[in-house]
Amino acid sequence: MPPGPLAGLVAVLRFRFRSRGQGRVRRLVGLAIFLGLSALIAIVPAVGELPPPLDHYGLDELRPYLDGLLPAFLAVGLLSSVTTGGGREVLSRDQAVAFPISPAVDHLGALVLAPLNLAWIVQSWLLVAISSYAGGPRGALPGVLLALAWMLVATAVAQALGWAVEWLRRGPHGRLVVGAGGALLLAGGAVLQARGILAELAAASPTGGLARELLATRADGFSGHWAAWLAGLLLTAAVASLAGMPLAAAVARRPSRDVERADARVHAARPDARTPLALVTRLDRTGVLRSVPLRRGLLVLTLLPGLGALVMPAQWSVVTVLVGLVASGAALLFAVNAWCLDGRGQLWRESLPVAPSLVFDARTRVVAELLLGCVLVTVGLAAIRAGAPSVSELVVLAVAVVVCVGQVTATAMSWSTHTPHQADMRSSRAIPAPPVVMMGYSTKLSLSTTLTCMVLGTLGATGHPGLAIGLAVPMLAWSAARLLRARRAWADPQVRALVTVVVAA
Amino acid sequence: MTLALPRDAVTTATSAHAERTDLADTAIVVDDLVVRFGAVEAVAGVSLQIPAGEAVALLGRNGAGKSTTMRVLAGVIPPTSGRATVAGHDVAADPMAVKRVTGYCPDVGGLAPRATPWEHLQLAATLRGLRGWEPRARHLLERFDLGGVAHRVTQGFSHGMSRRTSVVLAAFHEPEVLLLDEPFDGVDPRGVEATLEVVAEARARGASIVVSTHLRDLATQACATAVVLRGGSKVAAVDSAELVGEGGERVYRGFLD
Repeated sequence: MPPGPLAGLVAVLRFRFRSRGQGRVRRLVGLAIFLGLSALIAIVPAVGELPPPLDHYGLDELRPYLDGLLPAFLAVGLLSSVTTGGGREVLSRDQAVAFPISPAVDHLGALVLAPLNLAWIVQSWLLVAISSYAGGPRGALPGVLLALAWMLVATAVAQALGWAVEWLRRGPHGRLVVGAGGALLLAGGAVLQARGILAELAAASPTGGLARELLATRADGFSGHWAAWLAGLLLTAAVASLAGMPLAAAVARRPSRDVERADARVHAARPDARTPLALVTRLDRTGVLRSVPLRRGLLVLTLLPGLGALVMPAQWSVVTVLVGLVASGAALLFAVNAWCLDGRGQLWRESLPVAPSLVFDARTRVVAELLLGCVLVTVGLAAIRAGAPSVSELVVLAVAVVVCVGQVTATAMSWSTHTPHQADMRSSRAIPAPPVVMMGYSTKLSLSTTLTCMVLGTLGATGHPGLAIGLAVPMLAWSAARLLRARRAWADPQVRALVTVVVAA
Repeated sequence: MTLALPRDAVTTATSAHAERTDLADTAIVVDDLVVRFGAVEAVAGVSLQIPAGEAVALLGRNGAGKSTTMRVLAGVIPPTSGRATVAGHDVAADPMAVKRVTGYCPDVGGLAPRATPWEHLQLAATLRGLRGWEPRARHLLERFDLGGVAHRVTQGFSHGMSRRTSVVLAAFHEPEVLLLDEPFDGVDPRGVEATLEVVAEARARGASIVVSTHLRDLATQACATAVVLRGGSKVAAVDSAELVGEGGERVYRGFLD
């Protein structure tokens, strides 16, 4: 008799994580650091202050912020599951064909893996920090527990809705239906925001009630309506998790044609490029832009934070922090394992008579271009409602863009060269490295870039933007040195052979 | 390392080239080649010599070290120890020169998934400094029945189409040394025929060819000599005629067991 969904999930996860091979101690240390950091984020605000730019918020001012953040958590989760065509896959498509993985197991796997992305982690830290701050010493624990329960609800509901949307999309005229629906939602949201109704609606929604309850924990602690809220949230999460199973089964009965459609497209021959570097760069660039998951991911990353800043106007200090997060998010799409782009084709590419440095430079250029493109679009959208920046804000922003793109590019190329992973980037649900590794990458990138932007922002706030420029110089030098180290490593045939063997496995 | 035949058996076993043992005429020289991946020894001391204009089949069970040997000869993987030279170039000291003189069809995939066959050819031609390559590229694509998909990304290709595309990529610049790893795997009769023709043409112009395959019959058709690897070592080097038919199968199985 086949095992139930939970037993099936445990078996698949065990296989997946055992398949990771060595580095167990490193992964455990990484997990311990992540949990320790999360615990600090949950505890410190209760007894101290929020980090900038939230530090100036009083308790009353937190209300509209929570009103926006709670539904935003759901919206981002939904967008993530919709754009990935049903969330992350617990086993890659190639591996999964050998096993009878039921849609229920696939659904539970997607639920378990949903938190392993940058947007989820950053938002959850923010929500935990604010709940802890709102609760104070007496209400931090009940507040954080409520926030965690909401994360469960939002993740499960988003996953279930994600399956529903994917089912629609795979149906007759599905792309048109879903595209039109999305556009209508966006337009409706914009109209409501323009008329000033969106905030009222958010406050009147169930998440508005949850925001009130979170703020009430400061005085009530575990008493009052806390237990009822917690029970209600956990019940909703359970119901949504179960509801996702039949929806996932319905999706499985409608095969996706996206990849096949993309594969069948004809790409007209282009003239020869002027130099080998230009040609290799062009090929690498098209490798990214023709990939369904990468294209969707880039679109979401480019538009989501910018549209968010359009709906809820952000100060320039917040936009500066966004720069680091967007650059990090873009890198997590593929750049943290940049050599996986060619997959098994890396074997042939490596047999071509071309200087390793040229190949490295081309890939680095494509990574930097994409990061910069995403960041600039986000900043452009956010700028529409952020008002005119002061000279100091403008300088800090420009410095943050250059430093973050350099920092993330160097980090990504270094990881790609020293710790390659086999990844099939064909499926819209694919990720460039195993989930636990991606979690580590997300944490490291988001922390380092956020810290960088906050430090630069703090220096800019002193009214002496020259200080930010002064700090940028050693930061850029550090990134350049790291990039050069990775480039030197790539020039070593042993290192290249290892990368090739791994990504072409 | 267990050798059934002397180290230079590949050269000596081929009567037509028996006298050509001079290293100057030898396109590929592999001497005590060892390749290790961590604790795994993929190639454990293989030695062979392949004269110019000769086609040699590499045979053996899975994990025998055939593909790793091919990757070393293509300049993709450096040897852990031992020595390999291709057209006079040491694969460890000058892998770039080796890549210039070889054409390599890898055993798995071997194609950039989101590039078209034409873009693959364009890249290879640019990096090899070829001019006026387009007519030959078109001819080869047509010959391998790939003309209709020349501008479609390769990730949608069937296994056989991918194999055929890889053979085209390996052969189209007319290399001095042609390295074909599992070129017949999953390929239809027309593709097999085209591949055999490419091998014959390469021999005719004096190129050396190494074909690694599990398909003994096709190996004997394509190559005059066969080298059998087992457990990362060479166990035999014989005239392909000895491996033909049922009798040949018994001989081959004897090498594998």
